[in-house]
Amino acid sequence: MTIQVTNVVKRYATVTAVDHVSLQVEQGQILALLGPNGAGKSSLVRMLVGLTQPDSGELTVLTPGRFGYLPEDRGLYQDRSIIDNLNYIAKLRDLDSAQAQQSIEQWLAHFSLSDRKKEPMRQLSKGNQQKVQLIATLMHDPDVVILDEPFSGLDPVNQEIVLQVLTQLREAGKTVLLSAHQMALVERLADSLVLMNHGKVLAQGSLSQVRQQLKPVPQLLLSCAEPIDLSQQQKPAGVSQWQPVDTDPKQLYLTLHAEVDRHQLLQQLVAQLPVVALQEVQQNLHELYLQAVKQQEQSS
Amino acid sequence: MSAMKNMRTVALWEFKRFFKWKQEIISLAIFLITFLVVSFWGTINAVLDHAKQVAVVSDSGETVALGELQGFELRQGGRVELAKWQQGELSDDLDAVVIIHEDLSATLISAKEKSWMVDLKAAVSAYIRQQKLDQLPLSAEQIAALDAKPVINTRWLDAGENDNSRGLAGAVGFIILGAVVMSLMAGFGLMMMSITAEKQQRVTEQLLTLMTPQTWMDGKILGITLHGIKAICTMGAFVGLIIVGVAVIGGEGFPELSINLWLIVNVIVFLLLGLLLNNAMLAGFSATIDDPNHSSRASIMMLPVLPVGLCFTLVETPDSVLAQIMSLLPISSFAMMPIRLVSGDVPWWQWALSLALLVGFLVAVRNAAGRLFAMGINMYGKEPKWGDIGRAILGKNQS
Repeated sequence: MTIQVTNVVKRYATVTAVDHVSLQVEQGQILALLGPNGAGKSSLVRMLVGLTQPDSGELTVLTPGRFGYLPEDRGLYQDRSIIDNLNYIAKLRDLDSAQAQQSIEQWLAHFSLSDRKKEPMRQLSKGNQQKVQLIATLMHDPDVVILDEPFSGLDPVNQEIVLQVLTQLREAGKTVLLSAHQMALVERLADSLVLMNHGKVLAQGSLSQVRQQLKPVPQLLLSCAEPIDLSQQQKPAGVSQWQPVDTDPKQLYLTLHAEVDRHQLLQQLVAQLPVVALQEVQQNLHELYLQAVKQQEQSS
Repeated sequence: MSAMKNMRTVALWEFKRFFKWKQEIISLAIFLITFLVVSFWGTINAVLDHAKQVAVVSDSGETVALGELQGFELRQGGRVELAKWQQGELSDDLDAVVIIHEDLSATLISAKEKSWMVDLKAAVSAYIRQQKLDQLPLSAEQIAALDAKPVINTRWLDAGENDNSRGLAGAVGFIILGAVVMSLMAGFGLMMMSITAEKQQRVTEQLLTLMTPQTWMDGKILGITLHGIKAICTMGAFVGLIIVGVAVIGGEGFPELSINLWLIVNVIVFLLLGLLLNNAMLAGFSATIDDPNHSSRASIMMLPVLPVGLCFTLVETPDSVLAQIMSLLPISSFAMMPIRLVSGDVPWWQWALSLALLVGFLVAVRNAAGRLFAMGINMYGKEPKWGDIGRAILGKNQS
């Protein structure tokens, strides 16, 4: 099943939470909505699962029973046991009792919660409660999975477990849309990305397409034979900024103007410093995102 | 899955969620203990309290025979003691002295006013009255005729009326109103837990992708209503057992009950509709509250109790104009109409109009509660304004 969102707008009072957003998620793919709190990710997700309606634009209306939804504001009945909570949701999903039990037991075992299934939810850690909520989302083997901030509140070990589950879902041909702000995690997993800020899309596509769209600023890492005293040096032409590496006084980060001849620059550097190496530095998604947000705010 | 099936699932979940066997048993035990303590309070008091030591004497210091007086031990007096008592000196082991004068007036001497003096004064008054009657030139028959209570015979022209019907209607009325108030109170607390606390725990979003807000609300209203029914049945059975128990232990045998099936069905139908209506109103109010600790709106949830409270004042006059109006208004008809039906004839059109208005109002309130809930869940960390609530009730809200 494919998810299609076309030119969707959602306003709350004076705030435009989602501003002309379009995206598509193909079957068997994972799309990640990335952005800080208030970027509009959850508003978009809530429209997709039918909790709210867009003010304008069109989007795929997901059929209840064929999708699983993990909301950002998580919560199950704290005074009831894990198994009671899951059985209740299974009944509301109209699952066959035996089939539901089998699915629930499998997922509980997967998340190492089988021994604790009779415990009230309030006795579980936040991470374990999140796992139970994930089981509630996936127990009916949905075609489409919508996960709002699936990594929040999880420790690195559990984040890896969720990553594995998401990979398995993709392998099983499920369509997955998730929102997150842990860019390093999503970078490893998603087939396509949508970077949002203040309801607007900053960039979207595959990781390489997003990198191109965000126009990374060229950066070099300069290594010298001796510690560098920048006060004694003149900044070479073509370098907009240079700053020492905190962990090593013999290294410098050089931020370049867009069009700079690397060969000429190297000659200038060798003339004034005991250069050992000069390497290209690739900005990660997090840095690119921050840079794009800054540019967006400057332009507005 | 059908909305009906989901509603049933939610109703059973809500009922089971708040139904705890241990708490039920503890509650019943507390009721039983309270009942026993209240019933035997007088006996306990009498056992713990010593018999009052009282001397009743004439002006000459001779003991006056008042007869047997429960809770009192009447003591002998004498001239020496009388002289002391008249000067205000009471011995430590004496609680009071009563001096009955020759003109048949009396003086009570004691340290302070006490509650037991009421019984003593009554016994002294009865003694003085008897003395006065004895001084009159009356025969024993004349005195007996004066003592006898007047007899008023009544004859009712309506076939269904009898001497006990008013008393029965009053008693049934208070039982009905008591049941309604009890279920309202239970519904108030449970609805706050079920909706407001649930919103705070963020349980709502995932479940709302499985069913509509209206279906969820219907299930909750039904589930909490089941609790109200359970509470009424439990208390009804408990009170019934006590009445039967007291009658059997008291040697009166098993009480005879004349059952009017039509009346019972009517009372049950009106009560059930009333419970559903009140819970729907409570559900609607709850859906507009974000935090019960900081919302002034929680007190508004008690409004449905007001018309029921007013009905208490009309139990003794179920055929008054005001009672007729209250039995037609859906906010009170579920309580007032059964009382009127028990107390006597109600024109069929009033019964039909009352039932129709109640059902219609219930449907409207249930729909409004669903819309309020749908609006409330889209508001995170804030409460809807009165304007928003008004629009939601009228079905003009936007998602």
